[in-house]
Amino acid sequence: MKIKYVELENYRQYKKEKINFSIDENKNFTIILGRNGFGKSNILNAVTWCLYGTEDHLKTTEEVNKRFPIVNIEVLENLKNGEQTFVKVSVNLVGEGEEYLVTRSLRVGKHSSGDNFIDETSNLEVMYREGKNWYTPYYNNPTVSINAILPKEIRQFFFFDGEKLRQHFEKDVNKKIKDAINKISQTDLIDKAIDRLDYLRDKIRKEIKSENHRTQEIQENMTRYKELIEGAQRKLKEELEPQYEETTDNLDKINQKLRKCNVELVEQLQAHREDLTGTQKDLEDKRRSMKEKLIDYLIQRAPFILAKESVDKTNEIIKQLIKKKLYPPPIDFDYLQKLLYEDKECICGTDISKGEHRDTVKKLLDIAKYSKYPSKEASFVLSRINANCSEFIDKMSEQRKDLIETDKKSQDTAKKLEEINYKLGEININEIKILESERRKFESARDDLTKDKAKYEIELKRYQTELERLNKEYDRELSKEIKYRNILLRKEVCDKSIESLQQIKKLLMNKIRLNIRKDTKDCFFKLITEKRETYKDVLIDENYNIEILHKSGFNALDTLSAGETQIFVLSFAAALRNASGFNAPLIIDTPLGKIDEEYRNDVSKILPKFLENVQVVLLVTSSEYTPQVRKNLSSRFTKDYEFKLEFNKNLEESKVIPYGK
Amino acid sequence: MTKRHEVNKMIINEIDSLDIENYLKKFLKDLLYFEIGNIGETNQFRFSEEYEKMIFKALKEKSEKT
Amino acid sequence: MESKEQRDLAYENKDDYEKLTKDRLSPFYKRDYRDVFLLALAMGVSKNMSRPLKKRIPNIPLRGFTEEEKWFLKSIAISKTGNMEILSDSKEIFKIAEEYANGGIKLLVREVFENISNYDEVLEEELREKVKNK
Repeated sequence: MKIKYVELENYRQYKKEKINFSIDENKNFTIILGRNGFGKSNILNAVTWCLYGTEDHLKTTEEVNKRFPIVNIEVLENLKNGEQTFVKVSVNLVGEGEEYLVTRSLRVGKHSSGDNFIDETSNLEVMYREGKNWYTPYYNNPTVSINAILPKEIRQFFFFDGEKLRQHFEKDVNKKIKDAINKISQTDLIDKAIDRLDYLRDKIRKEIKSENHRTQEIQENMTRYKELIEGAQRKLKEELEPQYEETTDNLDKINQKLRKCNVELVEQLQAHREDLTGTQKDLEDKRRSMKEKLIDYLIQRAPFILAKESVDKTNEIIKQLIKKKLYPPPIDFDYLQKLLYEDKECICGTDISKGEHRDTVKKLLDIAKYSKYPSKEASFVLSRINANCSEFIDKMSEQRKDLIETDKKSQDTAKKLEEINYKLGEININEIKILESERRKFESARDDLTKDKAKYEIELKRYQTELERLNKEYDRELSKEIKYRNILLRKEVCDKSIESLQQIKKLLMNKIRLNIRKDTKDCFFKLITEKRETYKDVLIDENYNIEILHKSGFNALDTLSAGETQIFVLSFAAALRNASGFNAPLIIDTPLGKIDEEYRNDVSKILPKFLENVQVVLLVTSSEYTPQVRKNLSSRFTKDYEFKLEFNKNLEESKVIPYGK
Repeated sequence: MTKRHEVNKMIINEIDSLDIENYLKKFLKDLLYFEIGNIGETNQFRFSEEYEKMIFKALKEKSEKT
Repeated sequence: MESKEQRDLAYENKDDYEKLTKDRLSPFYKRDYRDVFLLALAMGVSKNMSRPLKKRIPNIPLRGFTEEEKWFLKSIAISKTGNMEILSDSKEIFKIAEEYANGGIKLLVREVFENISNYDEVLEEELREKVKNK
């Protein structure tokens, strides 16, 4: 889907403006140059306002907003008493054989008293074109239409502010990524199907009016567990999780204050403390994975060692056969069989269909049966088992030793942390004392909440497992009565479908996560040409933690420069777009803003290659849009789609004019 | 309405590679196509009706196989 | 040649396997039933506890086993019968393995859950003893 034009009426700095975007396959870029304040970012805001009812990228603060409402102030001022008009933004979208016109309008005006008013809610309309006529979709839910084109939840990867993208990326990134991937993999579709199947399943179950005492008992139990589950879910969602977020937020704020408190000693200690906390976390992660590996190894080797006698005995048996020269056997079994039952004649010509010779050959057959047992393979594998067993003790001791070492490092770190906490507690500056005590309070609150959350999550799982068991028992009881067979069959379809759908959901999200990881890695490594050697890998684990593996082994995500982070986030956004399959336009405000000059050239050279087949609109400032950058992008746009903004202070109006003028 | 895209293909592929009976696979596909085609539909009753029809169809196919 | 019918190995009761693989604290958490089977089998062999299955629920695919593990199963059968002939009868090999596993599973569950916080250490100790006593 591409945006053919955006039409603005009375929207912020724009009184009446129609901006055309390039929808060409090859010259897919549109450039709009403007100073901040001229309405550059508001072009992006207009698009998001039109599609989603929100202006995501307002540069002005709350207070300034009061002076600059969404309606063009001059237009509003010039209205007569009792007169009204509309703020309107239209976006014309074209795709393969489809065309849509999305229009959002907001009524504004002046009361007869002379007071201005702006309506609370705006009106959204979506029309699609067939032939020469425009139609409204039959179920007339415009939000749904738009979500099918580009879902609201992933818009930040298509319409974004280059400068703000990094910040947006830093907070709650796991949840954001998970939500984005959810949306992209259309698991909401699967979720919906699961919801409806669940609803249907309950409905079907209610058809059964069983008088059986046992089933009624189970029913009661199931209801009880359902309530327990709801209770636990509510507790987690409405209480514990928000509290946890709030507490971590507060903790972050305090850490920040301490870091910038202007008392040198405190700043140093705080920095050291944050460092050590990071180290501590890494050590804990390391320990966990070491323990896992140890248990892996243990469980893998244990059976062979425990039942070693069997393996040894088998080895003995084979050795004996080898001694008796029966193994490997001197003659092939199949050959002898053929001889006896088909040819009935030896190669030397002797008849072996009966008699003494036949008996001899039959005896040989008895010996030759061992040729069916692959001997080489047997001794090889069995000796390997033995070898692995003998190195078991050494390997285990080594792993235990490493584990103890890591524990010791962890203890040392904990001790150092305690020392720092003590030192900071001793500082006799009132402000610091307050901050420190607040910090301690929040830290312990956070730890408590973590424990509580874990407790409830475990309980929740237990309840769910129990409910599942009860469900199965209930079905078992019911299936004993023939009259319910049919109902149960229908229910079974629901059950199996729900199970399959849940499986699919997991598999799908995993596949997509891995695709995104790969694409992010490829893009990022291609873009950071200079530092390519420094980074080894990009990982996104099952909990959506992102890791940029430095060649020395640690996670470099937090140590990237602003420019590198920008590039990384751009790569990630590109990967998400690829994975989403949504071919929506990309509108970037200040794309190269935070990027250092050395990267700016490289990025402006390479980015176009990554953005083939995508409509791209760049809203740039003159400091970004250097002659070199302009040259690098020039292959992707024509003069017809290179614009600049002109702002008329007297009329409080911006206009879009060709760049060359 | 709007056509969806390769993600749908991925879902269909996953259904095919599941270790379940064919009538169930067909049922799941019917389900998902129905959902895709009725994105705006919020009438719960209509859904239950349609779903029941699909279940009936699935069971019929199951008994025909055996 | 030995016939390698792709059969599934069976157990009598799913509950023990579920308990071991679904409990967060269990060392088998999120592992394959195969891992449980092999250790139960080894325990059954080492304590000479073999129990015929009252009901066969085949659910552990053979294709999940490594070469070593497959030969492990074979050597248990060879060791029990005393000769190599058993190799021509895969069905019997599996039966022997299943019955030993069936004999050892209850013991395994008990040992794991009685030492849930440090089963790895308990098991390691047991194995070290075994290796030393060679």
